[in-house]
Amino acid sequence: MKKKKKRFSQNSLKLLDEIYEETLKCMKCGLCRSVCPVFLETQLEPNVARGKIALVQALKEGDLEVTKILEDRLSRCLLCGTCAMNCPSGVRVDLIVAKARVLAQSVRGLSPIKWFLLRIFLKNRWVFKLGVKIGAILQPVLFSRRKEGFEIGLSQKRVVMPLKKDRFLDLCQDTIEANKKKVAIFFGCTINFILHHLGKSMIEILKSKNVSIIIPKSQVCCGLVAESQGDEETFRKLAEENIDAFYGLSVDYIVFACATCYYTFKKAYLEMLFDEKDPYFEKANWVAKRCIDITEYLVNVASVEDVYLDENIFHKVPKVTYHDPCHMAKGLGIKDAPRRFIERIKGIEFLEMEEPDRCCGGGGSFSLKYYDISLSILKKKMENVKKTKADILLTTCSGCYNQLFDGAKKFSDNLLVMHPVELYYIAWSGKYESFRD
Amino acid sequence: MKRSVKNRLLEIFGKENLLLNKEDLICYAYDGSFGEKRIPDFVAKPKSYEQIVDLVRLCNEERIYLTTRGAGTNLSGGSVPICGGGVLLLTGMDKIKEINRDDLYVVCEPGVVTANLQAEVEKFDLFYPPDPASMSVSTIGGNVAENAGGLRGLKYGVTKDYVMEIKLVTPYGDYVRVGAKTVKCVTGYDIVGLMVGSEGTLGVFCEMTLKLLPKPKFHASLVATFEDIKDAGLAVAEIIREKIVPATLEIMDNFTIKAVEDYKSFGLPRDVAALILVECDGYHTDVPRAEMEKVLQVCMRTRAKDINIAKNEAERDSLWAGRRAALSALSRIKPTVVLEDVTVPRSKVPEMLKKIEEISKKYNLLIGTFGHAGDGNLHPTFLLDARDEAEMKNFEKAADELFEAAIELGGTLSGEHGIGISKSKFLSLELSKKDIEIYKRIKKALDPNMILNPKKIFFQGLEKEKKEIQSK
Repeated sequence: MKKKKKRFSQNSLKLLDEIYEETLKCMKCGLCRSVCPVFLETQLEPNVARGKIALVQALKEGDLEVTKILEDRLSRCLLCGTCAMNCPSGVRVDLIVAKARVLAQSVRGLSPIKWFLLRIFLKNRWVFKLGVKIGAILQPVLFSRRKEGFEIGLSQKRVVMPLKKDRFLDLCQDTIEANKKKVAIFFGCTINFILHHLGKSMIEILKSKNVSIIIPKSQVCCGLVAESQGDEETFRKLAEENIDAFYGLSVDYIVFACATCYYTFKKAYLEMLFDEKDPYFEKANWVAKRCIDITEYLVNVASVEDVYLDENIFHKVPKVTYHDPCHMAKGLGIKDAPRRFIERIKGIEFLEMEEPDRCCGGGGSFSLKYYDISLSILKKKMENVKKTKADILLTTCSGCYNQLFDGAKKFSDNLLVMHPVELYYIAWSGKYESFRD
Repeated sequence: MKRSVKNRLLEIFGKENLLLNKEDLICYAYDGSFGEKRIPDFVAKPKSYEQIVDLVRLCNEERIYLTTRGAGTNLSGGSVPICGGGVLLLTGMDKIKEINRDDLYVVCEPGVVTANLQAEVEKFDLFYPPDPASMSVSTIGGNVAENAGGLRGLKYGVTKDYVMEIKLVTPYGDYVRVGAKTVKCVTGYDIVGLMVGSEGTLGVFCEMTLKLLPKPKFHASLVATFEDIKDAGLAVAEIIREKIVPATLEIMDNFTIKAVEDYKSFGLPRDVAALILVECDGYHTDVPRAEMEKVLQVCMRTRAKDINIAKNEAERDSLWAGRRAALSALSRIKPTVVLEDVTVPRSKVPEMLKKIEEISKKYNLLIGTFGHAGDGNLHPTFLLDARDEAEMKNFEKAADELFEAAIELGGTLSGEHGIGISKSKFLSLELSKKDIEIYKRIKKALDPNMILNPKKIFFQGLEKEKKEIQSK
């Protein structure tokens, strides 16, 4: 008996054509197999770019329908962009996979749990805020407390940083007036709900350079987590809210301390949502042009001076290494600025690890769904970190920050994970505050 | 698939090493070649030769086709399960078992990635020379089955020159050893020689012993540009006549140079007809330098426009970066890329280049040519759009003409990619009926039920005979 075929809507068909067009550039050389972190752990073709391209082509050619297994295979991707960067033909596999997830979602819909998390929780900022607050109160009851973090997940394997009860955004001033240099800040969820001290470090350092700061209170989650789940509806709503929050502000730059949020504003909104015909295209473009990473800004625009880290703070001259976030190094091609910013911090010993731009295995929700694969990718990262004998591991992305925090707790003794701005602030202020405070 | 077969497969491999979902099988329907694909009925991923023996016996009894696969980078369709049946995926058998520094060999399983093997032996200052362009992903098993070549063919030969011993499962399910771990071995037929390049039609390789060399420590590189492609060809011929054997001797035509420069600026001159890249190596610092001096003289004699010798490692890397980018640069111009590997005696390289140019004009097709001029192995790269029917028809005619030209010049259909599916229809250009008969008899003797990698190399005749066998 023939099963009734799930029909694509008109819009889905258009999307499928668009994705298919991009897949045709693939010459099936298979070089992606040498770089894909997920493939290197699993050694299965459906997990690598070339396999995913074959699946999309099978959809188009009618050999396959959108099934649960297909959805699963599509979600086995960190969207780290390593394949796209190394592809001889320049195929944008990251876009193919992200859009194929949107396509799959449009046919099969979101699972009830995803629907709740994305459509109810993430999409509505007040629900989100309240939810985090409740989470912050309940976390000591729900999860076993470990030194500096909680263990979550059914197996209680993952160690996460504790949530704050208040949103950082609500704790800071709207505007800080200073001289001609003007920036707006986008914080993102991790600073808002966990790393308050990073937000504080940003503001204090910018203030010290006499930079005027605007903090639009209507900013929301960047939405990339929704996009990575194929939930274009939520992604679009969050994107529009963010663009409305920042569009037209009289600032030179919009500053980010998270590579993923930065990438989302700079590239993903335009590539995934707003093509030239879209009413938001102009505004999104205006915003994208002004985006800058905090380390880029501090080095290239604000020209921060050297700071000296007092030996007494860590009771030694700490060895420091840097992990390149995928969204920064591969997504935006920025490797130099964070390093030049770290050079401004004296009194540390900087050591480059092997393959600093190798993915940490976080991939946003990937690490929740495929924790075992994620963990084995993370383990390789932590081995490279370990070889440097570093005391402090720096990174400029909150996704990596969370993942590396878990890695530091699991695979090392006293490794600290920080954003370069945090370390700069510690050296500058002479005080070490961690997120516990 | 019969239920009994499925149950037996599950018994042999367990659930985790047997793929049966369509979503997964689709990802094993193709390889790196342009052309037909077919979704297999199952993919089995063995961890040991015992599992392979069980599988091959089962397939032989049940008359199930079996196509062995490594990384699936084959450029002639050799790893496409074109008749359905099973795919035997060997990437899970990826151990390097022994690196013998006294007898200079390495023993490894078929799933070891070529570049990993090279990196491992280089830790001991040893050297495994074959370097196919796909080596960062291709597997040793696939390299041996296809007799893969690479850039270093001129001086160091190809895969067949390094295979000493193979342990394999025959199509009738016996686990056997052929060859030996000695430098010399004339015990019995040279079955190793037969197995290398057999494209997965005669056995499943489970373990290989490969010869190693000491790693040459010194290199010298040179690039020379020419205003006439004939002069470039002449330079290649003269270098060989001077009794210099460079490790690599590469050529790029004007179209490729321009594509490379459009892709990324390497500082190559856009207005020259061709350039050659030469690298000499040796165990003593004077050797490559002295050879390079001679190469320089040859290039001057053959009217080179510009000659540039790399002064240090960084300059050497930048010289080669342009060549390494050739395929990337070409493949970005149009969506469909077909990489050919016609090979002619090296003295005929200029004529072959000229012929390629003519074909390109005649059929109005974009063809970029680069390749291993030193061993006569060229890579005319067709840039096409598979959706353009007229263009694809022209391509077919152009390919016919290309192969005819190569054969006329005393060359061969394939230097290093294999015949597989893509070139089997051209086989009669190069081989007579009687020539092909030898292959057929060997195949029938070893694989009477014709289960291993069906429809490859010389398929037409065999298909009919297979039907006869099965109808009996």
